[in-house]
Amino acid sequence: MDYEGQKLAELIFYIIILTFGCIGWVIGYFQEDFTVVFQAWLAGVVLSVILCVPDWPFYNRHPIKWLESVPDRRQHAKSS
Amino acid sequence: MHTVWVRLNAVVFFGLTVLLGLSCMAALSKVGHTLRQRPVVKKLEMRKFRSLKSHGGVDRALLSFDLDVDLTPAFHWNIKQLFVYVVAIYETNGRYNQVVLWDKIVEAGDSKVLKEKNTFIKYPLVDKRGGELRGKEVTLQLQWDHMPITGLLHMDKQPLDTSSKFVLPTEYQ
Repeated sequence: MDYEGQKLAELIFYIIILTFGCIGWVIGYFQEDFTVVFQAWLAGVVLSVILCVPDWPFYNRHPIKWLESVPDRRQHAKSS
Repeated sequence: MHTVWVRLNAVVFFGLTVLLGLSCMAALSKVGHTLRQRPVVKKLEMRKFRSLKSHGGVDRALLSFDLDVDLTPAFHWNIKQLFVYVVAIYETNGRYNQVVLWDKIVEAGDSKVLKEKNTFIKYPLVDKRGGELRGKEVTLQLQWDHMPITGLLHMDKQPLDTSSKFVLPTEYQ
């Protein structure tokens, strides 16, 4: 995963887990049932693991541009 | 975030932190609930007195009781279960003793109305210090612990002015 991809992955799981958790909490509050909150939270975590942990292609759209390799100085010194 | 394991760690532990926050908010949302909603004990009294004997140097009384209480008001979404127990209170030399005679765990999914009829006590009424039980006036009080999903345990009990009393015989029977 490149740097932009890592940033995107972190943003995605922050949003998913917080959203599922908060919506689940509100529904659970009115249903008077904490298991609703727990299930919504668990769904959020599972979805986040699926979307953010494997190295999907859309996380590699900004590959790092490495510099050209420097010629080996010792080889140069030996040969010259 | 550069390897699968680092990302997995980040997701899981962020998830657990959010769960902790949701649990604390649920606990806070029910602060003060028990002040407003209290179960009422409709009946808790001795039904049949069985015996009062001296066993190995300690006085021991056995009896059965009736109980009628609806515990529904004590429950809310942050309560996992209630631990309910019947306490016998009697006085020795100006100080009060409390002895648990019977208990029950009431989970959130169980029936919350307890109707015990002529139920025998689980634990004998014993004065462990070898004190006298003969002739004592005993008050029966229902007490219960609220065991939350998240948070501290707290107790509540039946007001003493609604509790029933009985007097143990003055001779062993």
